[in-house]
Amino acid sequence: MSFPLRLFVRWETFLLLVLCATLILGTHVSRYFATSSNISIALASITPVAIVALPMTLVIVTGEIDISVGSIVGLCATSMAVCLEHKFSVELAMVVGLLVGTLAGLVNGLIIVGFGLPSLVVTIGTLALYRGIAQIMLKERGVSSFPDWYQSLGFGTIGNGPVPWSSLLFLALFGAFAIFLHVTRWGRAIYAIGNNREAARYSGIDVRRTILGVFVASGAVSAVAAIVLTAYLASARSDTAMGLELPVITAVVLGGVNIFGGSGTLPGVLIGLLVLAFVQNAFGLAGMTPEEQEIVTGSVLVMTLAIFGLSGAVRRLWRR
Amino acid sequence: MASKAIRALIIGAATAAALLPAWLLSPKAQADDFQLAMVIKSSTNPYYKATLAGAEIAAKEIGGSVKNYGPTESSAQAQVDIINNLADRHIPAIAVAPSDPDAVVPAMKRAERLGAKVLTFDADSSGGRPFFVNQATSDAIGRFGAVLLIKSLGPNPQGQVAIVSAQPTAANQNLWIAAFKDEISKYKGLTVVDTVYGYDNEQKAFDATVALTTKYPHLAGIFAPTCPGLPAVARALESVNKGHGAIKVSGNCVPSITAKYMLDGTIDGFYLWNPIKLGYVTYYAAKALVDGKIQGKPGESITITQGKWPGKYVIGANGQIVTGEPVQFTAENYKDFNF
Repeated sequence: MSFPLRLFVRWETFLLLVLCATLILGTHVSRYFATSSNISIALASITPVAIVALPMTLVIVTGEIDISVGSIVGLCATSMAVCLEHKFSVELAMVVGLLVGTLAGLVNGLIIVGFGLPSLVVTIGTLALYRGIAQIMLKERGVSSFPDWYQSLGFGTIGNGPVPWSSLLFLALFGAFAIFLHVTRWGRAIYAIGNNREAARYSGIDVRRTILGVFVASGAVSAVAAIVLTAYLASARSDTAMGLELPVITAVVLGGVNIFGGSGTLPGVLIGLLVLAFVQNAFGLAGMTPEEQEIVTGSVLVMTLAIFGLSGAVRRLWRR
Repeated sequence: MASKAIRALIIGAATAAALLPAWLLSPKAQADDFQLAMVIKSSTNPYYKATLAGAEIAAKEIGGSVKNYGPTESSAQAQVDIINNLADRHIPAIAVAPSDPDAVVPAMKRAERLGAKVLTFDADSSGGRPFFVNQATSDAIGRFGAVLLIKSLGPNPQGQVAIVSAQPTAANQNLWIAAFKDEISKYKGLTVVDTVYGYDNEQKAFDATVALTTKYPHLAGIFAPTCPGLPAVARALESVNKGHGAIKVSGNCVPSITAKYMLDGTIDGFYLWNPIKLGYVTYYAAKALVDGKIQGKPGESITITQGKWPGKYVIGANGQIVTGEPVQFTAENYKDFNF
């Protein structure tokens, strides 16, 4: 296969094409699409999902899954809220949130590695457990006493331009995760585990410690998402981020990560996130109601996957 | 070479397929007419079809158009995203029924900065709006439910009472429950033993009710100020043979999905307010704001001279326009409330 074709058949390249189409579509449906106010809000609204998608990519590449991320975000938000209720400073609350998230991830990882249980089952359990703890801690109360500088993490943009502060935070994390996964030998170990766990073990990779590590990362980074999300919502409640796991896993899979582990790239996930953000945004600006948007977003997802699958089939037919 | 041609074909076809939606959705002429976007708690709740119907009546009377926007499942973040999107569409007026009073405020303020007039209806936010169009005072709604339940418990009401609400964070329900509990506390024989939640979901409300009857075998009454939770509560009681008056029920919901449980005697105290009128007045108020007839300050008023519900609607000192009183539905009157 010659170089341009090989580049084209890469999922990421194809996805980039879909992203370009989405952006062109956006400018067609509304003259307000290309305004910095609109672009900033499209980015800001996807950022909590985008942040959690980073460790989720690692988790899925190892062949595991973490369904409990939405509940971890909710538990972190709730812990921060309780700190604020007790008149702690918001900085201290953030530290507590990070600790709680890390601990929640550690608990997930220890149960999965320690008892050798499937992560799907364990994290379905902790999804209910963490949300339950959050509901007991905060009951029906909502806490909105976040300072203004904190809230600007949600909607605020750099120099009133199109880039939200929260996206900057995401980009920093993205850089760190991309280097870790794609450059370091630990990243190679994660792919090796996802491709063939036995082979990875025999080649001297500490499989258990690596899996424990990705779940701890998932918990800790979920806490960062909790900070961004509570800023975006200017409040924290026990039901914050309920159902967050679905868009996160959707973005990761759309980004080309094999749901059974072993392959996928973070740049792919980044483009997948942008497609999700701007497809929703453009259809909203076109005047669609949220129900209609869900139908169309679902169709775009399926169509994207189908077209790529079809192009692969045609290619194989040709080579035969 | 043939492979080159195929390559070009595939790339061309894929690009065309990806660009097809853009071509189909070419820009439509944007009318400058008045538009009201009603941001509702959930699009599956028939209650908001009634508020929309009222707004549509008003739109026919004074021009413009109105549409509902709500998440398929109640969520504060989804509402925030919807308000942000409407703001960037530069819709002239946005009326919000917040599912979380705090979370919507930054989005509402942002919409205002982008030029929209923003108000709340059905439920209030903790700020970010000039006034709130209220269906009836929260106090009246909560007490009305208590009075109906007490009445059905007989002249000397005794026993345990439980509450099935929507979400723990639902601001309206929490205010109603507070008024309900205050009214109940006037009767020594009655105790409120528990509050459980159905999360605006019929299955969850059903399960929560069945669990209540197991936990409190001598439960005397249930207050369920939630829609579509109330019919699920009735269905649950009937399925465990505690319906038809064995456990008394009062609550509010829409007649279309609840009336049959009122008619078969399971829900004694079935009431609501008039959501059609709520939507109607909301539309007039939003239009008056956009036309600059009012600023939204307390003491100002809108006057509807001719139309379905003429009258003078005043913004009270608490920043509320109250559109009516609770209404009890009975076998005689429920057919008049077609929602």
